[in-house]
Amino acid sequence: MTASARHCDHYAGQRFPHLDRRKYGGEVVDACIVGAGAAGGVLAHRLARAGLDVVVIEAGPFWDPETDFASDELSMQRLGWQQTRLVAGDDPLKLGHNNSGRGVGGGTTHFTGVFLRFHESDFKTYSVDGVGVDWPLEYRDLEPYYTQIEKEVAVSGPRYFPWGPFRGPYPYPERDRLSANAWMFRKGCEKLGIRSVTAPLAILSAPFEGRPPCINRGFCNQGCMPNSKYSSLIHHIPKAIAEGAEVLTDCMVTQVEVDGRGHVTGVVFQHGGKEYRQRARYVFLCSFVVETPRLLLQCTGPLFPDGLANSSGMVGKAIMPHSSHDMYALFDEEIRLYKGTPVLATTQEFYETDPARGFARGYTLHAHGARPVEFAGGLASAGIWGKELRDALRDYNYFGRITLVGEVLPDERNAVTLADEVDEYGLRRAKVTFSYGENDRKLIAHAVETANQILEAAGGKPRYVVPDTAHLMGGCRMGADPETSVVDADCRAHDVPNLYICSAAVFPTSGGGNPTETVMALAARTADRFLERLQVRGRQTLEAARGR
Amino acid sequence: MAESRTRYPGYDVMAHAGAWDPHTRSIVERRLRPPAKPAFLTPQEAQTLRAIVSHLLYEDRDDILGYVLSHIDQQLGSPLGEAQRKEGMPPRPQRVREGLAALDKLAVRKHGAPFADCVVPEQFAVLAALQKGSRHEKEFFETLLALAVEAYASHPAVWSEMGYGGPAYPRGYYRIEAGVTDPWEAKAEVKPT
Repeated sequence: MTASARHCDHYAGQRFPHLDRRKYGGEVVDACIVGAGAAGGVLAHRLARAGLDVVVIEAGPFWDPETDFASDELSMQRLGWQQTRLVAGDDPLKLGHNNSGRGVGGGTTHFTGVFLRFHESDFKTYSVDGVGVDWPLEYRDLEPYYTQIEKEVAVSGPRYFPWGPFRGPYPYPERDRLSANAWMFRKGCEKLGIRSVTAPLAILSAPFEGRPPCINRGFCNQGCMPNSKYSSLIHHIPKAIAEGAEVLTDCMVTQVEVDGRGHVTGVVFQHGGKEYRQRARYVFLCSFVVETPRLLLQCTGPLFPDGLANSSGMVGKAIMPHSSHDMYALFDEEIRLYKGTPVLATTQEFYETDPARGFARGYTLHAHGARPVEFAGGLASAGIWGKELRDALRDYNYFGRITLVGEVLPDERNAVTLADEVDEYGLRRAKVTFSYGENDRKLIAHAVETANQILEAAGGKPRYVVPDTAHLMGGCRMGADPETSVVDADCRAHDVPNLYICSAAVFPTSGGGNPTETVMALAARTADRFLERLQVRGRQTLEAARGR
Repeated sequence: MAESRTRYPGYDVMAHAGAWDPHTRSIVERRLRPPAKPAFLTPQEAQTLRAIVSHLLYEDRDDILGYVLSHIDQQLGSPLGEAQRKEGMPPRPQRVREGLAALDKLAVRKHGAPFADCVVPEQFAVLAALQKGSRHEKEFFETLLALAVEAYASHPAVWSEMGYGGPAYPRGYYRIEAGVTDPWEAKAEVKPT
């Protein structure tokens, strides 16, 4: 590969296999951020830009897209969190690449790039529909941050978006060539009178900050190699580093340290079998839905016998995936599911509650491509093998696919707890328990039916339904009441004044669309609120010192 | 059999490997080399597994089965985690080892011979029984199927038969709309019936 092809090396002089050059090794930094994913990246950038000393600690590697990523599904499974978790419940979750990330960028290295805002009703499902719980903030609190983040990463999308409070236009034009699968989807929707759009994507439709537009390679879920798709790996983390933040990688945080007052003082982490410490005035856990509760539940002391920040008993509870069934139909003409950005068309026509449907809340449907491993693996997971599987592989190019992103209601029985088994760091493994509720099942049945109608209207013969889930939310719910939630609307732990939890873990409900934009908007708001609080405190300290 | 496997008989995705980035190319080309000797599986386990995998995948070509087997062997010997493991199940390597032993017992009980020595219809019957069997049997079946299929669908010969255009960096795909193809893609010669 020529040097010119390495158009996005942000890391020169920033990636070390060792920890001999720590910038703040013996010091107390202002902010220690655990996890360099969607939330950690935004926070690190904003806090470093405000002049704070910031250290980001990431369990996985500091990837270089050009040499670490490949156009290959099997070898890129490692972008997911592969460490073993135990799963239980009636519908045990598939984890790893399905919903988590490990390494700088976290899940954004392999997300599809679908960038959707939550709707107004998502923040008050209890008030509106009598299900779930209300968030302690509303759509209008996040609205300016949605707008900022969309501009910041140059989201491409339609001029007019027909659902929810935001009707467009998006900062960058919508992607202008639709794959055969996306076109099939839009045609089917059109026939049924269902509105559809080109999906809003954190994938470039034109050059931006030295990054080229998408080349329709199709491997969004395996790590973008041309750097056309947003990830915190290529955007917010390099920007944070440019503002002075330090990023420590291959460092697994094993403990949050707490003083006698119950305030956090920093974290302990392991690198290459050795233990290190980073002291900090504020700790931000941006370590997603499984590892955050796992870490908090293992930190116990006289002041917090059930785990740190867990006086409510809600740490680990009410986790939610999205139901994400894949509906396949066979067509007379080639679709070629491998071509182009996987999700190029979408509908949110079924997003809001419709009492006539017999269940609360709703869902998003995407035209969703698939490469061979996902296609064959999906069918295998639905119990198909032998000749039937082989025949389906022969017909691969004639299959079209629609994928569900369905809201799952919170249920405290769905939880991350600690298993008895211990991992290589000496930490107890996470046990992730999940079962769908009745409302979830009704929603899925409706969505499967709708998707099959669309496929049929487009000329396909529905063949397979592959049950699956995507994303994870909850486990450290935000709320106004410290008795029933872990953090407040600013993502600050009710129990611990200098501990923040900022990721999809704080979602009280799941919404019926892809969560990444909301995670990032929430992180941007958290940064603002934190910095405001810091300013007020700084003024008070100063005034106190002056004897007022 | 070749006819029923593909609608693109003349297509070889590897003919275009020169257009792929070196990292991807090296990963895919490794799958075409003679497989390493199993490190985790015993020769007897490997033999049984080969018979199982050939049925799971409806596949009889030695080179492809050899790659699938070496992938499974590598995964079972890897210190990396298995992402998720159902509560109460043994870790994946143990699960497969114990499962293979139990499979032979089942085959002996039902058909009077270890799995590898059963005739093909008997082998199919045993596998079908596993898929609908006890919690442990089902888990064993699903574990093997997932491992076998992810390798199979990563083999370039299978890609060619599927008419999959393959890795596309730095080149990309240009004619992505319905009814058009880039010059290097497979052109259907046999339509579905």
